[in-house]
Amino acid sequence: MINMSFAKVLIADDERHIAEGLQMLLTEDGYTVDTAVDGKKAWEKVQTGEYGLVLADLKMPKMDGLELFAMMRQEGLDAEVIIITGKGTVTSAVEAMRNGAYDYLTKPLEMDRLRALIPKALEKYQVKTANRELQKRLESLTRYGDMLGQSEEMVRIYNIIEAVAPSSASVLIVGESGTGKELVARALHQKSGRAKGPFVALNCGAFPREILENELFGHEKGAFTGAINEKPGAFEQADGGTLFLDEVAEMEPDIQVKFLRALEQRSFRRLGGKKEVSVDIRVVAATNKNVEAAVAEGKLREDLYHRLAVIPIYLPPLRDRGSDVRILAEEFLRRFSKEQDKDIKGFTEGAIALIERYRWPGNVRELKNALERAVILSRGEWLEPTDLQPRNMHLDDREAHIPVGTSLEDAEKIVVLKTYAFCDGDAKAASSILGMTQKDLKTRIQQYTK
Amino acid sequence: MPAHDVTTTTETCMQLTPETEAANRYHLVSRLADDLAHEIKNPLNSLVINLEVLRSRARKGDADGVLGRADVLEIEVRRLNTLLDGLLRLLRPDRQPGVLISVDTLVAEAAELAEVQARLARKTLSVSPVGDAAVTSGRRDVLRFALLNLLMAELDAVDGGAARVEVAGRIGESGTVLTIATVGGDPVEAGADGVDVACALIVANGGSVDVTPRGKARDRVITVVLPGARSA
Repeated sequence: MINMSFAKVLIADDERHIAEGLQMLLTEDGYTVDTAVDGKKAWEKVQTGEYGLVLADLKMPKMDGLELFAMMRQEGLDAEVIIITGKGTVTSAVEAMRNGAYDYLTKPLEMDRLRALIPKALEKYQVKTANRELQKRLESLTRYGDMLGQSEEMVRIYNIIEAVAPSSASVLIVGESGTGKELVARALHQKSGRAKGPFVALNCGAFPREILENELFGHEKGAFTGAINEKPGAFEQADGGTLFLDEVAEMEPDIQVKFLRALEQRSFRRLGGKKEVSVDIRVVAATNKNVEAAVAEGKLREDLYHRLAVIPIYLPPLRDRGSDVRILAEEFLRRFSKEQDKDIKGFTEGAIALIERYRWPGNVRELKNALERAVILSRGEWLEPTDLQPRNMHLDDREAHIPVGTSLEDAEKIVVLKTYAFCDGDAKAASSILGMTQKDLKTRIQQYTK
Repeated sequence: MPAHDVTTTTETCMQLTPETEAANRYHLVSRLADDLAHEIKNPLNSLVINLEVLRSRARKGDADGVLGRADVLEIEVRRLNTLLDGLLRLLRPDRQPGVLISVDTLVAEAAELAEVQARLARKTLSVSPVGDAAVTSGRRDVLRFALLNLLMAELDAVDGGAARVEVAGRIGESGTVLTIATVGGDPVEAGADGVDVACALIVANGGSVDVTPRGKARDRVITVVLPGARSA
C-alpha cells in the first residue's frame, strides 16, 4: 500500500501542456506532483531528495531524460525513473531500463498503464529507501540488541540478523568461544515474530549423553528411576519461541539422530512417553568448532548440519573487529565501575595500547573478565596496564593472522611486514628468516608501505 | 561580412540530373519525416492527456476547467496541423510556377521544417526577415526545397550546446542576398550533397550560392542570391 503523503512525483517535460495535464490527473489520483520544464531544472529539484518518482521525457532541452537519469544514479539518488519516449527513441529507453530505470512509456501515453506503474514504482522506491535507512541506522549503531560494536564485520552481522530474524529458518552460528553467539541468538529471537514467546538456551556440551536427552525432550513420570514427576524438555519449553542450542557439535551421535528427527518433524516423544508432542519452534544452534571438519570427521551428522545451517552466521573473533575492542573495553569499564561503585575515569594510553594490541584469544568474554578484574583491583582514577594483569596476556608478535579468503599477494605482504616488525626492523635478520635477499626485502617493504 | 566571390561555388556547381534531385528529395523527406514523426508525438500525447483532464473536469461539472482544457486541445490540434502541413508542403508540387514569391515566406516555410530538426538536436535556428520588398520568381517548391537543403546542411555542420544557425538577408544589386551562417558550437564534418543539390537548383533558377569556407570550419557562411529581387 502506498503512503500518498510520502509519494512525491516529478514530471520533467518541456511540453507545458503535457506537464500541466499530467500534474492535474495525478494530483486528482492523490499524488503530490511537481513539474520541471527541462532536464536541468529537474536535476535541481531531484537533488532535494523529496521525490520518489520522476517521469522524464527523453528529449528535453539542456539535459535529456537519459542524462538526468544517469546523473541521479551517479549521485546515488534513489528516486525511480520512468522514461517517456517517442517511438524512434525506444532503443535508448530500453538501454536506460537495463541501467536501472523503472520502465519506459511511449507517446501518446496510455493513462491506464501509467496509473498502474506509478504505485508500483513508488512502492519500490519506498522499499529501497527503507532499506537504505536501515542500513544507515545499522552503520551508525554501536549497540544492536545486547551486542556492542560498529566494525564492518559486526554491521554485516546486524544486517544478516535483520534479514533473517523474521523467517523461521534454522540458523547456525559459528564463532570462537566468547564471541557472543548467544547474544546473536537472542537478537534473532527478539527481532522475530516469536519475540513474545520463550527463548530457551541449552548448552549441549555441558551435559552427559543421558542428561542431555532428558534436557532436550523431557520425560514422563516413571520413565527412569527417580522420575517421580513428568518434566517437559527444552523443545517443549521453547514452544512458540526459539530454542538455542550451544555447542551443538558436542552432541552424541545417537542424540543427533533423535534431534534431527524432532527438527524435521517438529514433533518428538518424551523419554518414556508414547505420544508425539508437536511444537512450533525455531532452532538456532551454535558451535565454536570448525563444522566442516566436524562433519568430515563424523562428529557431526552431515544431514543434521545441513538442517541446522540453513542460514549460517560466522561471528568474527574480537581481534578482527578493529575499533570494537576499544568500544567494548570502555563499555565494560563503565559497567563494572558502576557495579563496584568506583570512580574510574578511563584508561591510560598504555592500558589502551595494551588492550588494542592484545589478540584476545578468549574474545569478548576474556576482555569482559579482564576488565572486571582490573576494576576490582584498581586503586587509581585511571586503569593502568598493570591493572590488566599483563602476565596473563601475550602480545603475539610472532603470529600472523591470515583469514581464509586472503589473496596470496596479501598473505605474503602480511608475513613479510610481520617478520620485519618482529625483527625490530633488522633487515638482515628478517631476510634470513624469510629466505630472501636483503635487497628484495627492502624493495618489498618500500612497495608495501608506499 | 568579408568580401568574397559569390560565383565561386556557382561556377563549380554540379550538373543536376532528375535522378540526383529525386534521390536527394527522398533522402531529405525521409529524414524530416523521421524527426516529424517524433515531434508529432508531443501534441498527440498532450491531446490524450488533456482530453482525460477534460473528461474529469466535465464529470465534476467544472465548466471553467472544461473550457480551459478545450483551449489546450485546440492549440495542440493547430500545432499538429502546422507540423503536418510543413511536411505535406514539401511533398506537394507547385501548381503556379513562375509567379513572384516572397523570400521571407520561402525561408519561413523551409525554416519551419528545419526547426524541428534543430530542436531535437538541441541547436538554435533563428531567422531575421528581409522585408516585404524581397521577392523572387521560379518554382516555389524547388526553391523551398533548395533552401531547406542549405538550412539542414548548416545545422549538420555545427554541434555543441551553443550551436546556432542564423539566417539574415538584404536586397542587393542582383537580387535578394541571403546569408545562412553557423555561429558558436563546434564545427563537424558533414556531407556536402545537400549544398550541391541546392546550388544546382538555385543556379538553374538564375541565382548563385557560395560557401565560405567550404567543408568543416568554424563560423561557416553560405551566401545565396535569389534573382528578381524587386517587387512591382
